[in-house]
Amino acid sequence: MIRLVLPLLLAVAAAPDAADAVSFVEHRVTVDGEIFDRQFVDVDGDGTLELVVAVATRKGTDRSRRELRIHAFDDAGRLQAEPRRSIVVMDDVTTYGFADLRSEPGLELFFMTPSGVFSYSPTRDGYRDNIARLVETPMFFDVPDGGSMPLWRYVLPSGTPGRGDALLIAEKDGFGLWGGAPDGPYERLSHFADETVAGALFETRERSSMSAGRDRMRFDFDASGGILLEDDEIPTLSLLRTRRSIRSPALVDVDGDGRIDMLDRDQDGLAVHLAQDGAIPAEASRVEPRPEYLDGKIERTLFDLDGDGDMDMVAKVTSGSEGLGPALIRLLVLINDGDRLYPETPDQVLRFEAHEIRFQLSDVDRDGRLDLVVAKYEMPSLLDVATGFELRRNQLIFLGRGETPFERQPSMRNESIFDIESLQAALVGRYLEEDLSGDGLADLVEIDLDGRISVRRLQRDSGWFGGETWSIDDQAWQRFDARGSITNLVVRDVNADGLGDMISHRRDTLLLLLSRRTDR
Amino acid sequence: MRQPTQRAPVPPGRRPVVALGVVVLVALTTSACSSAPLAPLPVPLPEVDAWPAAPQRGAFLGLHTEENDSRSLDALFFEPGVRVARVVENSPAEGAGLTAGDVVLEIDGHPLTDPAELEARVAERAADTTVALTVRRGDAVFDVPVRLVSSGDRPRGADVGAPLWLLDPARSRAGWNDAGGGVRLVSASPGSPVIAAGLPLGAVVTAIDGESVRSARALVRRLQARDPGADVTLTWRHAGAETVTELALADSPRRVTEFDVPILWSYSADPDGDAARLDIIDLWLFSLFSYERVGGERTWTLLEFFEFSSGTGQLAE
Repeated sequence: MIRLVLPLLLAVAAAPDAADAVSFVEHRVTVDGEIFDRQFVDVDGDGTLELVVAVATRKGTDRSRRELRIHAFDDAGRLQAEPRRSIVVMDDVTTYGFADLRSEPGLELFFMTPSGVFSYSPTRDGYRDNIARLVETPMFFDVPDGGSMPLWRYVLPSGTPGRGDALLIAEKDGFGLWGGAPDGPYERLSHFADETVAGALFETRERSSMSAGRDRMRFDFDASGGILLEDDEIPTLSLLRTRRSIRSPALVDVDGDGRIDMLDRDQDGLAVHLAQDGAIPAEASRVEPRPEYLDGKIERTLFDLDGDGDMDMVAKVTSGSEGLGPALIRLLVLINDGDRLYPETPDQVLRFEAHEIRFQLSDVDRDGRLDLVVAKYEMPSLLDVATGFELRRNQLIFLGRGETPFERQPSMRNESIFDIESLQAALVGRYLEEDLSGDGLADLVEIDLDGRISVRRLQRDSGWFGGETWSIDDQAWQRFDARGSITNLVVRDVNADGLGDMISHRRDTLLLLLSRRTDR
Repeated sequence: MRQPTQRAPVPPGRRPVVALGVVVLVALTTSACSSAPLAPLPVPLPEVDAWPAAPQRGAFLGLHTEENDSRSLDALFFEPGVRVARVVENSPAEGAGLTAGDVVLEIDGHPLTDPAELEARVAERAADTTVALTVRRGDAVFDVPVRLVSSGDRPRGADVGAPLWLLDPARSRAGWNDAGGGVRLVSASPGSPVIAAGLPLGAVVTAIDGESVRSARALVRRLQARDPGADVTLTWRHAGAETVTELALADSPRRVTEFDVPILWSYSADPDGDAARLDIIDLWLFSLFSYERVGGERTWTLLEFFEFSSGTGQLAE
C-alpha cells in the first residue's frame, strides 16, 4: 500500500504549479499628447484582436490633432510597437466606431459628423478614394470636440449576407436605425421619436461625453455586455452648464432568437422592441410595467445568467437608508422566460445590510456559469467613529450552481477591516474576473491610488468529506509598480492565450501587462 | 579562475539620523514616534521583451506627411501636395528648415498627392544624395534641397519606443541602457553607490546576484525591488575584464516626522523637511512655547501672547 501511495503523494507534492509557468510582459505606448481611449477590436477579421488607441497629439505638429492608431499582435502574442496604421481624424468628427460596412473582409471604421455618418477602410492609408458617406441626416451631436474622441457602440451585427451592420444613431429629432447593402448609402429602417431621446440617463461603466448645441452631454455605454439602467439622475461635475442627457437604450437579445433587440425605458416600465426582418420596429413589441418588488433606488444589469441566449437581469434595490445608518440592499435575480423580463416574483433574492455593495458577474470557477461576486462595505456608526474609525469590507462569492441561479450561501467570505491609518489600503479597484495564473480559477486584481497593481490568487481546497473551502491569498502572487490608473484598469484576455491581461492608461501612457505562458 | 570580489563602502545615506538619546527617550516615555514611511516595492519582474519593430530601409528624410485635405468630412476636398504633419527631430528635413504645416508639392519635379509616394521616392534614393523639394508655406512656394542620410543614421529616440537610457534615481542613482548581452552604465549622480563601488561609466553589468540581466528595464526593476541599503552583487565587464563587485544600494536618510510626549512635548515635521512644528507644555488651549517653520518662514510664540516671526519673503508690486 505504501508503495502505491508514497509515489503518488510525492508526485502530487512535486507537481508544478500552473502559475509558475506564467509571467507578464510589460508594454507601454507613450504618445506625444493625450490618450483618450483604447479598444481591442478584431479589425481585420483574422480572429485576433488589435489595439486601437485614440490619441490627441500635439508635439512637433502645427496643431493638436486626433489620431487613431492600430497596433497588432504578432504570432507570439506580443504587441507591435509601431502602429500598423495611423489614421488622422478630421476636425468635424464627433465620434467613431467599428462595424462591417463594406464587402471587403474585416471591419470598417465609421465616423460621425454633424451631417451624418461616413465609412472608412482601415486597410488603406488616407481618405482619398477611401471615404464614403453612409448616412446624411442632421445629427443630435453637432459640435465636434478636439478634446475628446468617444466610441459609438450602437452597432447591430447584420448576420444577413448582402447587408452591412446596422447603426443606431442619435439624430436631431430622435434615434434612427440605419442599414442597407454594403458599400452603398444606408437607408433609415426605423425612427424612434423625440420623446425617446430626451429622457433619463442610463448609468454604465463606460462614459463618453459629446456635445450638442451649447451643452455638453454625457453619453454612457456598457462595456461588458450587460447594461446598467439607472433610475436617478446622476449629478454632474459641470458647474456652469446646463446638464442635458440622452437616454441610452440597450441593444441586446431579449428573446433569445439570436437577433439583437432594443430595450428602452417607457416611463416606469421597459419597452421591448423585438427585431423583425433585419430591423427594429419603432413601435414597441410590448411594454413591461415596473413590478412592485422593484421599490427604492434601482440599478439593473443585464446578463445571460442561465445560458439560454436571452438576457436576464440582476436588479440592485436600495431602500431604508436614513442618515448614516446602513441600508437594506437587495439583489434580485430575474430570469427571463423568453416572454418577459420581469417575472411575477424574483427568482432569487439576496439581502444585505450594508452601506454599499458592489457586485459583478463573472465565471470565477470556469464551469461555464456566471458567479456572483459581491463586495460589501460597512461604515462605522456614530458611536464607533467616536471610539475609532473602522471600515469593513467583505468580499463574497456566490457560485452559480444547483437549481437556483446562485448558491444561497457564499462559498467564500474574505473580510478586511480598515482603520483611519489603513484606509488608503481600502481605496483600491478590485477585479475578480479573469484567470491570470492558469490554475483554472479567477484571480483578484487590485490597483491602488498610486497605480500599483497586484494579483492575488483565489484558492479552492477540497475537504476530506466533500466540502470545499475558498480563500484569497493574503500575499500577492504578482506585483507591478506599473503606474496604471485606478479609474480605468481593464482585466481581459487580449492576446488570446487563455489568460487575463491587464490594461490601463494615464494621460500619455498606455500600460499593458500581457500574460505569457513559458511552458509552451 | 575565481573572480575578484570587492567590498564597497557604505553610502552616507545609511547612517542613522535619529540620535541615540532620542531613541532612549522614546523608549522611556512610551511616546508616539514615527518616521516617513517607505513605499512598498515590487517583486522582480521577468525580463521585458524588446518590442519588435520593422527595420527601416533606404534613405531617410524625417518627414511624416498626410494628404493635403480640407480636414473636414462634411466638406471634403483635396489640394495638390502632401501636408507635413510632423518633422523628426535632428533629421535632414528639420535641418533643411521644414516645419509642420508645410505642404510638399513636388519631389525632384514629380508632383505629389499621396504620402506613400513621397516615402517610396525617398526610400529608393541612396544616402548622401540630395533631393529637391518644392514646398508651399502659406502663400509662398520655394525650392528646398535636402541631403538624405541612411536609415541607419536616423536619430535614435526620435520615434516612440526608443529610450536612450533608463534612470534609477532610488537604488543605484544611475542611468542604464541596453548593451549587447548586458546593461551599460551611462550616467551616475555624485552619490551613486555603483560609482563608489568602482564601476566606471561604460561598464556593462551582466548579472545581479548571479542571475543574468539582459535589459536596462529588468535591471532597474530588480534593483528597485530590493530594500534600500540592501547588499547586491554585480557582475560587470569593462575593458575586456570581468569583475564581481558587492555593494550596498542607496538608502534615503530617514527623518523623524513625529515625536510626542503627551503635554510635555510635541514635534511634527513633513517628510520632505519643508515644515516643522514644536510645542512645549501643550495644554490644548495654549502652550508654553511653540515654534513653527514653513519653508523659510519661522514663528516663535510664548504663552500665545508673545509672538515673533521672521522670513525670507519679499513684497513685490
